[in-house]
Amino acid sequence: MGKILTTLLTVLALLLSVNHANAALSLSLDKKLIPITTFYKGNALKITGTVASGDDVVVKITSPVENESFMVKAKFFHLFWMNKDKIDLEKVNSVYMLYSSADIDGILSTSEKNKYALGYEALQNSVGISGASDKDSLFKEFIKVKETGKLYSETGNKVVLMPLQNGNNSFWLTVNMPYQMPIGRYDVDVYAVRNRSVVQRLSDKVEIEPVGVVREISDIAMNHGGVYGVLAIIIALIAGYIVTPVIAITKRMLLAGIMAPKRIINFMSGQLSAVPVLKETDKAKE
Amino acid sequence: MNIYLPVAHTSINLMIMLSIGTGIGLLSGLFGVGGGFLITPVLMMFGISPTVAAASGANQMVAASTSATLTHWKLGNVDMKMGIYLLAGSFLGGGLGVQVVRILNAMGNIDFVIKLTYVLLPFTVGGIMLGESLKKKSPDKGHDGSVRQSAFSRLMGSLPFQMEFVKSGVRHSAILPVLIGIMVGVLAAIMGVGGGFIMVPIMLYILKMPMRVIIGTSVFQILFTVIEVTFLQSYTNHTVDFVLALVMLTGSSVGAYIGTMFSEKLNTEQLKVLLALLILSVGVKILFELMSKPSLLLAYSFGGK
Repeated sequence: MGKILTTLLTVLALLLSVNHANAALSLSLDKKLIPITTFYKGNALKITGTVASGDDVVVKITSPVENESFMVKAKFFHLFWMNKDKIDLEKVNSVYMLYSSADIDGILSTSEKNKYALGYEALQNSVGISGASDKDSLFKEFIKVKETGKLYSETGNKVVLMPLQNGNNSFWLTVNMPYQMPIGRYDVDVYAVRNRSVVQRLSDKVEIEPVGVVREISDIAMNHGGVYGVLAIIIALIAGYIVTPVIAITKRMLLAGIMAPKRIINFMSGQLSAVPVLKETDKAKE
Repeated sequence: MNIYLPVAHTSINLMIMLSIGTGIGLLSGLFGVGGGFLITPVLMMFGISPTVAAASGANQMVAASTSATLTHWKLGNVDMKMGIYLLAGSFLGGGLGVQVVRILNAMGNIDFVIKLTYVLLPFTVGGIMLGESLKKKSPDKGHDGSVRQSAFSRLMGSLPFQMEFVKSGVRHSAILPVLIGIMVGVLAAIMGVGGGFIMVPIMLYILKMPMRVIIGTSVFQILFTVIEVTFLQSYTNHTVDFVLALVMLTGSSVGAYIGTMFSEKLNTEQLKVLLALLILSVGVKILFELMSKPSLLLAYSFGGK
């Protein structure tokens, strides 16, 4: 009887703790759309929310999984480095950014990381690589390519936690969404982590999309290639045609600008030198 | 200040791109080369994909070549007759070259062929030019003291359709510029350039045209080649980034004007040495790239092999 009561109490305590956690985790993004305008050079995304006190937070931003192909560079004739073999990566995110409130290896078990694809190691297990023998070193090269292109990152201690009056913690994170991130919709997943396990997860989406003139030009280029080509040629011809007279006029104006003070000085000195001449002549007459 | 490219889907620094455009335009006006063999690698260095770089480069070269052609036209440096024959050949060669590229692509060797061409051709062309310019030239005389004609010159002289090219002051068969045009067109299609840096030495050493007329006629021929390339790339591959081209052409138009003015001040031998050094440096750079271990051992695959 005592054992049954203890078990029931433990289950109740666990349920209460999960409910408490469910109530604690919240997620908010400062924007749902990142517009690509003419002077776009990336944008900052602010991710905020609350989490139960003592929990850690992991934030993952990913693009949908797809297949990507790469060429492996190798030495040709022991002399030249060339693209040699083609490899295919299946079910891979073209963008993967991971941020956490502490070191990811310190707060999550390997099984939990694998379950939610949290961290490069876990990601390697979920990605299929075909056409290569040494998959480990190839995956490392893949990460290097992605990190160089600013599309992959894994950063610990980046999510900031602050205690709230109600006993929970607030968290916030500012992510620089680089201009290299392709147009599309991205998943923003937030995980509450306790005792090396994920106790709760919330998701939202953010979209990167061209707007205005950028969108218009992109649409014409893709859907009306012929018209776009003719327009591009005509504008280039006009630009090439008008540049010569424009530069000639600018050159004349610049020269006039440079010469103007000199002419004024010459004119003034001419006026001044004319006065003593007159005086001398007058003296001679006298 | 950055600007977003709607077709390349990347952001670039406006001032850097304007400066690059000016530099390339300067070369265009100075040497009569379109700058295509420089613009594609430079744009790729700034993260633009090779296809967009080549296509947008062609678009910007339309403006640079227009400006340079007009300036040379006013100076009386364009041999219209020679230009049209060369153009007819390069249009044919361009079509043939596209087929060569298609076959090589299917065989999976296109990448190697393009890079090797970029190494071999600049070394051959630049080397010959530099050698010719540096050595003290004297006419090749026979035993009797008369100027000796090479077998090649005699063969060219025996071809039908001989005609005068008054502006250049030379007499050739019409077949010769058409054949040269075809050859340059094929190479231009393989290398993805306007063909100016191949055309200029050929005009100089095979067609024996004077340097001033060569530059004017070369930019005239390049203008039409890049118009054709811009349209085809826009229509078939959708790879022309007009905003990128506009930024580059703003700089290159100014550069081309300044370059043309400078070309009038420099003497022919100086121009030849400078162009030879430029062509050789491109070859050296590509050779160095091919032989040194790349920092990234993977590259995105865009179809092809």
